[in-house]
Amino acid sequence: MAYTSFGFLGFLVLVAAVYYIVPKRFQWAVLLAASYVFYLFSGVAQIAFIVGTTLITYLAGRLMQSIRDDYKSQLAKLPKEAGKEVKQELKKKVNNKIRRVQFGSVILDLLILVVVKYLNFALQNINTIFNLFHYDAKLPLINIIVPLGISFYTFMSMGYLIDVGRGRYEAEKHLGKFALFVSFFPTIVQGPINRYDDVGKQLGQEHKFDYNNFKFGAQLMLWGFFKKMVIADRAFPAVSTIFSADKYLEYNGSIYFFGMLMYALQIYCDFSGGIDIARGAAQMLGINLPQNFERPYFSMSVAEYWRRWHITLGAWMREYVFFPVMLSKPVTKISKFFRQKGKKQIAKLVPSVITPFIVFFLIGVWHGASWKYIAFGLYNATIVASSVALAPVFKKLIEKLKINTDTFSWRVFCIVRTFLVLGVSKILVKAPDLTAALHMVKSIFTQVDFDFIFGFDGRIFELGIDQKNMFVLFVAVIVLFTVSVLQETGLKLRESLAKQNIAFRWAIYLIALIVVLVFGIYGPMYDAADFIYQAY
Amino acid sequence: MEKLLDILNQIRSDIDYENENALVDDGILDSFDIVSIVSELSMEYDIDISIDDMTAENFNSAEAMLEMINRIQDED
Repeated sequence: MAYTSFGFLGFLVLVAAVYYIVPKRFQWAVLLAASYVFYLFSGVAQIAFIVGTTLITYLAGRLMQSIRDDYKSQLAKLPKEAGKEVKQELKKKVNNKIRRVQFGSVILDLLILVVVKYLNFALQNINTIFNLFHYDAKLPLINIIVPLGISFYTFMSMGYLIDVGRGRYEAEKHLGKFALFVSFFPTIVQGPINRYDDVGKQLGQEHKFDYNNFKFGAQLMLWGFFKKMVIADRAFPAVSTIFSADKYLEYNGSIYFFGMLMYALQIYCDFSGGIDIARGAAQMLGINLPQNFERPYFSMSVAEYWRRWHITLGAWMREYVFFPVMLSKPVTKISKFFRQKGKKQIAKLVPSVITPFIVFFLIGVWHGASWKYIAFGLYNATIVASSVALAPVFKKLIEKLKINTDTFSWRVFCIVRTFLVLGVSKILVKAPDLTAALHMVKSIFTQVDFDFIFGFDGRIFELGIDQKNMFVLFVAVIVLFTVSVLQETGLKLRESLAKQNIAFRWAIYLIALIVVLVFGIYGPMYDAADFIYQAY
Repeated sequence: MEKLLDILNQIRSDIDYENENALVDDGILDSFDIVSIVSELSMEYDIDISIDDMTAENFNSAEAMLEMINRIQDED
């Protein structure tokens, strides 16, 4: 059931009605039932995977909690004269026990994800290697439909296990409430990647109907529909035409550049629009989901972009990969080694250069099992690592050239530069394969087609977006841009709108609704196209 | 406190450490800054800052960092 379908709207209204009518202590059960019904729409067999991950994670969490509780009671029973060493010994023993459970359960969760999502990729590569050596063996591929949202719920589950193991919060006692955290229907398709101590706790609490929450949630959903159906799905045909495997060679650099722009627009509006719908739906139920986007295309550096795009994935990586790797024994040892040799700068640089490669490799692989995603990850890592390594050089250069970095023009320059650098990584992902991607990037610099750029020959309208649709897209993008700039200045649009006179307010709501209904792109069966991130 | 402020100022001199109290929550320090801080503090105070200490609360202000350092020193 797609979030953009009328079926989903009906489902949400029904769930919300039941949710606010039943006694509040059963609200979690309504959401759990709704989430599993929603999940069933994606297939019956797949449900086994999410149930499996839920059970493993819940039980391991409980086990770690009981070890810790046990430790606390043992500590309390120790005689007063017991020395520091005795206490430390006990703590060490308990921590080791917890670490073992934590490690085992994280690996189990991860294993399910890896088998379902990555095993075929590994098998294909092994077969290719066999072929290279003229070895006539072929490992059979497995035939599993990837369960809906598996990357998202597995990451949430692993985060929970690591946090409980670290003693950040207590494990959830209630299996039903925990199962709801893993499967909550607005977030199961494409995130955000929630934290248990935030969203998990909210889901277990009782919620009174609040008109403002309901209204703001509905508005956010409408804004999401606008981004997804009016913009993303309108740009989609041009993207698939320009980047199609059989056709791309017919085009030139300027058309690829146009394709890149359209794809940047599509992927942002598709993903952030989907997140707006999810956050809006949750807000209607009184649940506040974390932000996942903060106008990422206004970023002044690639590192900043990754703090503003898919924020919850970045936060997950920072918390569970970046910091642990940076503080790990091998990395600190290398760092210490250089420090002892008196090379303080290198000691500082080594971890900052190594870690982005690990993190971005994982972010790449997270997006899918293919070499192009790995290339995408490594490209981003190279940019981030080199910008950290070269920061002092850039600083000197800026001083030497006497550039005032506190100006609007410098900001715009940095924003455009970042956008273009990221454009290359977008082409890496969207092109049919790596060779095609390199051809496209090279052509952008070597083939400039002014007739196309200025629309003299009308070819721009032959790529899947005709003149009429291009006009709608253009106006919609201006609306999106204006809203984004206003948000960038710190304005809270929904709150400001709520303060306006009733006639004006409702005029805006109605216009927005009509725009989405009239200009929304409806695919087969009157459902909009699938979300891109649904596949990740 | 003086020593800590000195260390912090060496890493990022553009921050008012004495008055900021949401260094992590407001995104004033990025992940690379935090790691630099951790490695400097480990060296200068000869302490082991473990992954369990890597919470936003411990790094949101200079005061919080000092508290964390004292706590780790006490535990050792």
